[in-house]
Amino acid sequence: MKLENYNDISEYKEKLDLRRAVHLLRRIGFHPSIEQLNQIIGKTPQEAFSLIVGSSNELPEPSNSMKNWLNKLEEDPLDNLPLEIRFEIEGRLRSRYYEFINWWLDLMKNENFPYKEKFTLFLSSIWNIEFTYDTLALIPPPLLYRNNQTLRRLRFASYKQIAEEITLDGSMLLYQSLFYSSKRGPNENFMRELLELFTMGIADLETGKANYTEGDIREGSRALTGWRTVAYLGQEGAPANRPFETFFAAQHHDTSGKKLFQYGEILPISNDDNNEDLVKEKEVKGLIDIIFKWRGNSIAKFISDKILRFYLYSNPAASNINIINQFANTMIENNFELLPVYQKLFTSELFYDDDFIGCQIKSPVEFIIGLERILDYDFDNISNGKTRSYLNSLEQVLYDPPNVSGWKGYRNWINTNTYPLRVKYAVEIINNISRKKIVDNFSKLGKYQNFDNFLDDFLIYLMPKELPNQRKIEIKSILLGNYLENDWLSKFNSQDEQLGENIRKALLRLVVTPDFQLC
Amino acid sequence: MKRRTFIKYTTIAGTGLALVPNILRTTENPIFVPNEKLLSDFDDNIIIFIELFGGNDGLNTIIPAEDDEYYKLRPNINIPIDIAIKINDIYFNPGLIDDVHNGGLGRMFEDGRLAIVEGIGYDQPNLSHFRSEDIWQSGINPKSNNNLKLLEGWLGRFLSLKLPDFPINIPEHPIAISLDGTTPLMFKSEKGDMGISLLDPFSFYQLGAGLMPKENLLEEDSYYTKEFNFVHTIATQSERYSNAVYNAYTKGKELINADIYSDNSLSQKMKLISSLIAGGLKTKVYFLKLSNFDFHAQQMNTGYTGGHYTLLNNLSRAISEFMDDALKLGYSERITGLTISEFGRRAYDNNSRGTDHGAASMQFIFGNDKFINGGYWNNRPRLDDLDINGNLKYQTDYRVIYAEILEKRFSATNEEIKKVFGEEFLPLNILEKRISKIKNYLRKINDNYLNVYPNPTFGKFFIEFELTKQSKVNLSIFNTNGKLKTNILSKNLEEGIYNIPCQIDDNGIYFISISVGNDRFTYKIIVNK
Repeated sequence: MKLENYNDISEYKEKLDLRRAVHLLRRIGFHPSIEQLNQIIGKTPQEAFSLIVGSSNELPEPSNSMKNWLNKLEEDPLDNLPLEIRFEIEGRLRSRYYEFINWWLDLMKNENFPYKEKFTLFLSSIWNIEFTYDTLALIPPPLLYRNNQTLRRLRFASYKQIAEEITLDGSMLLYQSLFYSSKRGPNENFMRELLELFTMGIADLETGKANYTEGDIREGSRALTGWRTVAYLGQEGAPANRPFETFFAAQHHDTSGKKLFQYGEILPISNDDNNEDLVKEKEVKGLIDIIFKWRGNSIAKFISDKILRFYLYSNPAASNINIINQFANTMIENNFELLPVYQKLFTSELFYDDDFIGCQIKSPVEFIIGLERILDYDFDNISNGKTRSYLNSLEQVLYDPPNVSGWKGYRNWINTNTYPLRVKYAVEIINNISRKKIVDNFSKLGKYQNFDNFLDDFLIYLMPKELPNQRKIEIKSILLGNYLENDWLSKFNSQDEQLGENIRKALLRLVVTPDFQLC
Repeated sequence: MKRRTFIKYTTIAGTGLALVPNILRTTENPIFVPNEKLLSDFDDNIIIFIELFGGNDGLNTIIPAEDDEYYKLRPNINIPIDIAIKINDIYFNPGLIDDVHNGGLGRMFEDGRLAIVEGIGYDQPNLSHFRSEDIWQSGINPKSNNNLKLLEGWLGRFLSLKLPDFPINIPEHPIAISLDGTTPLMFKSEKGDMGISLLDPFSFYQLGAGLMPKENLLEEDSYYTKEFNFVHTIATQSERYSNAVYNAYTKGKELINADIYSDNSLSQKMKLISSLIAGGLKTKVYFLKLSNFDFHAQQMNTGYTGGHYTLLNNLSRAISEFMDDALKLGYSERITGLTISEFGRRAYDNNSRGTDHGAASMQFIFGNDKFINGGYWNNRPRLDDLDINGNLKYQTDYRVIYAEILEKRFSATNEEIKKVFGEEFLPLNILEKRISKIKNYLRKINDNYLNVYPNPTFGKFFIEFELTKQSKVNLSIFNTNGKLKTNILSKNLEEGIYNIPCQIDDNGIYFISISVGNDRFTYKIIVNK
């Protein structure tokens, strides 16, 4: 049923069949391995969801080589250093950035339940950070890492808490210029994006009423003056021994009162009270409190809409305000926590409706990491940056989007430049797996006595929607090659690696179909 | 109607795809049609859009150096009068001229090949990069559509009108190309992308082989079908267009004057465009993006060079080098180019040696002096009359320029322009039509196609014109910002002399416009009670 026709979000209580299990796992994560799939088939969405998100909040460890630089400050390359030294430092920063991204990609590629990475990516694609910003500057990678772990830790938390913590996140302070903001010249960059991009949007999704004024931006900017992060070696005013931590520079803070959103007020503070703890409480948390108090409803709608686009259907023209409102209400009723909203989505009739299975254009990360997970791609190829360079060419450079509004997504991922590359990379990945590995991998689907049953499962696992008969026949013919069905099955059930080439050919045929780009 | 069938590739060298049995065959869709057949109105005009993303600081590009207010508002980043380069009363940022081929934009201005339009913007300026960029590319009127999601571009809408059977019928050569990894909103329409993205012709060609899907387009009405068909169209275009582009490029790159071009990326992209044009590609629109003009800080160093200077220098190089190459190759008359930017900068500088987001700004339009009316258009910026945010007010709606491009370069009718923008606009007449037919329809009276008297008037006046053959006539009055004030008549008229009584109640300057046979003539009237 089309989105416009939906009025209610009721719960889907049936046990998940293969197709719905794959659908759930493809959307909530980056394509399941067959083992993960097997754990979900036959469970209800409620049970499946609990298993997928888990309950622990353990965070992944950085790699050993990352540990060498996570607390290592470098000089600011742009601070009048001789060119050679500047380029040297920037070279180090770049290679650390690559290491960090490779680390994250590896987490995505290898993750098991509980799935964490797509939820982290979702938040990261709202609260964008650009590694290369302002034409020449680079964000120190230790700050990027800290930002990433914060988002991962807060992936299910209250959106309000996310806003509070990211406002003072070191990479964000640098990126959106709060690092330079002072009472003499408060910088409007972050405040504008906080409202426009990160919380509520320019206008309310339902009423069209403007959510904020230029005055709100100016007042909010004044409240956020004085915050810095320890980003560079020898940084003036930075406290010692607190590498990459955020700190408060009281002399730069505007202590006068601020008025925003008509009724919101931050009272002026005295010089005695102009310290880190109090200002954080009264003017950072206080500012976020005001924003959520007076625009909570708009924020809940804005973020719910983003969740629906990221996980359900990314077409911005397909939206139903009644549905958005229902998710928004769940968010508001739960103090802006994200977990209840996710739970509602992934256990809803809406989510498992046929109309929403297979309609999502895969983002580059979903496409490449998804395929690597299907084939259990080699770790080494990821660690030497090949996956990262694929994603760069496909226009999804993690932690370096084109601008602060992030990636436009939806059909923007696919054009005459990126489509041929997607096919090329898929072919390379498929050709890079040994035939033994292919067979071992797909044999996890089970043992079969009937070829058509195998074919059905094979295609459901790989493709977004059931293929028309004519196409099934073609794939069958490629898989069988010269074998008779029974012969083939007995080889498959005994994991004969010769079948690997046939399966490879079938995969190569499937990657040039339009539906292979969908999930 | 003859249908074209086309040949499918089943083996692809270099991509490792194995031979597949030809069980599936699509002979019915899509169909490639020669560009001339689809776009017979278009002749061979080419438009080049250069987007200056981030918000170009118009006040430091063309400098109001004789206005004291400029120095008061910008103590930290002004360009002093002795550093700016003066040409015919206009002060250029030196970046536009220093070391640039053939004297850069300064020389083009002197030669009449560059128009500078001051005060381009729109009502109720939006200071968000993304919203404003989308507004500029979508062609909407923010006043009436503030919350509307902007999903298609004005050019996409127009091309979608002209190609009703897209994507079943696809032009043989891409109509529009973006030299960028993504397709801009400007190209998008509800039928899909009306233009393609291109980075490198060689890899495009190699990668394009074998991509045409063997599956048919789907027909059900579902979300899945829509997305499937979208991908299908892109895949088809990828193969087909990669061939067309490659063939044009390999031919053209031997013909162009490659040495003219600087090393920077914008110049290299213009060089690629030149190769494609010289090689015979029938593409009509090229789009490039130059980032990043968003100088909240560090816009300028103490020597008046710095970030902004460099970007302007690169821009000037790219344009001058390209136009010189075009002239030498003989296709410069076909070219119309313009810069677009989502907004200007705030009139006063901030304390970080930069500026915040602004509103109205200036725009460059360039081409061959035969078909561009070069010079400085509109009034100098009013630095003493800023809006409540400290921004310049606009003089001309940004869509006026687009409407003029559609009218003069795409032969768009009034109705078509109205469908694209939702309203009518009066061109400034920066562009001259390459073939003007107005003289086929109107006979001059008192040396003008329109005789308007009395002028100036107290309010009442007559419009006289002589129609030499029966045709549809549209007679309208426009405001100075290009927007329609009144439509006087829009109907089929017999040949003859017409004398139409009119009245305007408000004082001011207005433009009377007569459109007949796809051509237009305008005449200025002053109302003074």
